[in-house]
Amino acid sequence: MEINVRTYAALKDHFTDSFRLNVSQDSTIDDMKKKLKQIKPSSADLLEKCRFAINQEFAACAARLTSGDTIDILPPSSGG
Amino acid sequence: MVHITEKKIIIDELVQKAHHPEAGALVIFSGEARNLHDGKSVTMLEYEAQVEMAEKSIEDILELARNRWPLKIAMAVHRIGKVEISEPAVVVVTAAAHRKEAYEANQFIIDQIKEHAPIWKKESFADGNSKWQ
Repeated sequence: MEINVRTYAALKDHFTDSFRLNVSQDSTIDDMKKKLKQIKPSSADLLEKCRFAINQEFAACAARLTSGDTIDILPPSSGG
Repeated sequence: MVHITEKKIIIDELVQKAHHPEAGALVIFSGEARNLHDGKSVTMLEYEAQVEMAEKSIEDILELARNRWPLKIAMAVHRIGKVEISEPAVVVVTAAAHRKEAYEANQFIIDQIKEHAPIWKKESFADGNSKWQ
């Protein structure tokens, strides 16, 4: 199935800011994270520090993905 | 209220909306673009946000503060896009009957925004490099 992924800030040094990703059925946020680490090993450390949101709601690593979901990957906040 | 803006923040305009007849204390925090980071000369800041989530995050933080302190006014605005040195990047205004709660709530709000709101800062340095913080 296909999901939409959006990245921000320092993550854009590793990925484009918006892309589609194929993941297997019943994948979780954690599965997606592993896949992204395989695609871009240089992003691994940063991905471990990120928060994730499914359709703009914060989601735990065990949360399951559904086809068509939009996943925001949010690096540690640095506003202010 | 809009908490995320691409426009320059005019502090006077916010303060005009923050006067309250039952408030004897009004506290303003302005987080401003600084020209130095770790000894390196900074020429400009740029902020990015997940706008919808940052709006909700700041509204939730303000609600938390209103529940914790007897505030008459609690406002917060964070700018995104390019911010020149000395311009405000984030402004928090609190008003309460007395200064203690206005100060405490203001500090709570800015601390929570910095820690939780999905907003990020990029610094551009005088040597031509730039870095997301």
